[in-house]
Amino acid sequence: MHRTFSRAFPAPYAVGTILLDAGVEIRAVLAPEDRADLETGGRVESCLVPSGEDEDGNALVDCRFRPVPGGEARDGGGAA
Amino acid sequence: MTARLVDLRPVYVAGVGLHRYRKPTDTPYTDLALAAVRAALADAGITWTSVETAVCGTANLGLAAGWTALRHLGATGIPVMQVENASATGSTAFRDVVLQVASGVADCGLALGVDKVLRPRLAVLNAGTPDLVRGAAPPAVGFALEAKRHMRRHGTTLDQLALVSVKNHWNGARNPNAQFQRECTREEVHQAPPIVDPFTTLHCCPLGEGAATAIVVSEEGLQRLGISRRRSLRVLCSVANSETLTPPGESLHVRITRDAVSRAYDETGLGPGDLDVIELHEAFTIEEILYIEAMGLCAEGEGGPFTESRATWIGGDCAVNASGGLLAMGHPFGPTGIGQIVEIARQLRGEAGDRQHQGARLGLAHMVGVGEVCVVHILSREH
Repeated sequence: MHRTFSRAFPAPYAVGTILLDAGVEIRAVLAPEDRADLETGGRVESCLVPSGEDEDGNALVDCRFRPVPGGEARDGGGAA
Repeated sequence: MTARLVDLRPVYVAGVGLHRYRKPTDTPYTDLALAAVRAALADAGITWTSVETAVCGTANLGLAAGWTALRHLGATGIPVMQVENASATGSTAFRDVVLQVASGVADCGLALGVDKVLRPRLAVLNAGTPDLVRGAAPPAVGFALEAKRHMRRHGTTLDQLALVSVKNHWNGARNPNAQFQRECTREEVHQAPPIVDPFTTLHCCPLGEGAATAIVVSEEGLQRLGISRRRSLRVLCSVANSETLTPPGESLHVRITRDAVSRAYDETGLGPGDLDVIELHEAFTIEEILYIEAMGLCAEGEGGPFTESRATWIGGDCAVNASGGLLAMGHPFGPTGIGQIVEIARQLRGEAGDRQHQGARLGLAHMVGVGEVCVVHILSREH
């Protein structure tokens, strides 16, 4: 994504369609260490990333997905 | 057993009017609305006092926008209501007026769509059930993912996607009510500023303001008001639906479009080969390719080559988005679905000027909206 639509997600960032092992398809924000690692059909795993603090100063985390090296390829939706 | 529209009394579009779609200005929305309403009344050859019911479609304007504009024409005491259905807002206002007239509670109704560029408030953000992507995935992202999937599965090319934009800008350049009235080349589409892979700005519809109106009458209304039958278009069906659980790998938008259009074909006994003009929701280039496949104009996966064959151009098998569509005519939300009815009326009457698709007799209007929802109408020239 080349444009910032929400301050919480400054561009550039990546969103993908993910086919879960349970058979349900979801859309989620991707958090690759290197954007070159993103590959359509590649396997990903969920991870928690810091996403700021609440009004009491407690750390907040949000769910992202990152590539699993050498993961088995499936027909998901790809990344944008 | 529920009734089809054709089981009820006949309903006709008797007058249409537009205020040009354009980038935001300081003009009050009431001026946009009244221009479109007056144009439609003049087109039908009737006065405001003949209108017995009115529905205003607006996504952004707030409470009582319809009445606040329409009162300038006279406080005639008719029922006025307002509807919102995301991108399908105008289509839904039109559908409601069609159903009112078909049911017999009114002989003459008016559907108005009007909007200014204000940030719409998405109810899902206050629904207590946030999703994983929240503000990270505006519609451009979802359709970019669908574009990539279509390209990978079916070999659809970026050139074919760009050609949808080229075609619709060519059409818009011949529409005095279009927001963009300038042709563009495939190279210009490729070189425009990037939004989200694989889309540049010219793959995406603009923000804008405008207004559109359609006047809907019964057979009795045509006779009593002395409206020209020759210029009136029969509304053959009105179909609306919303999303269902959809298997992984299948597009929600394609599913609801295929379901709604199939039902429209069933209700009318028509098929894709019968349609001369289609106005469909291509907020992004990939949508036109997905929906012409879902409507059966070509096989699944063939939308790209079908577009390249020029079958969807004015003068081809079926002119798709002869108005310029959302990409070039624009997508001001409230007006958009009614603007499609305006374009189809002009095409079926043979009044579309430089963008006329010769011999047009049947036209289909299609919008999808956040929800997801889908609304489809088919109009026919009677003479």
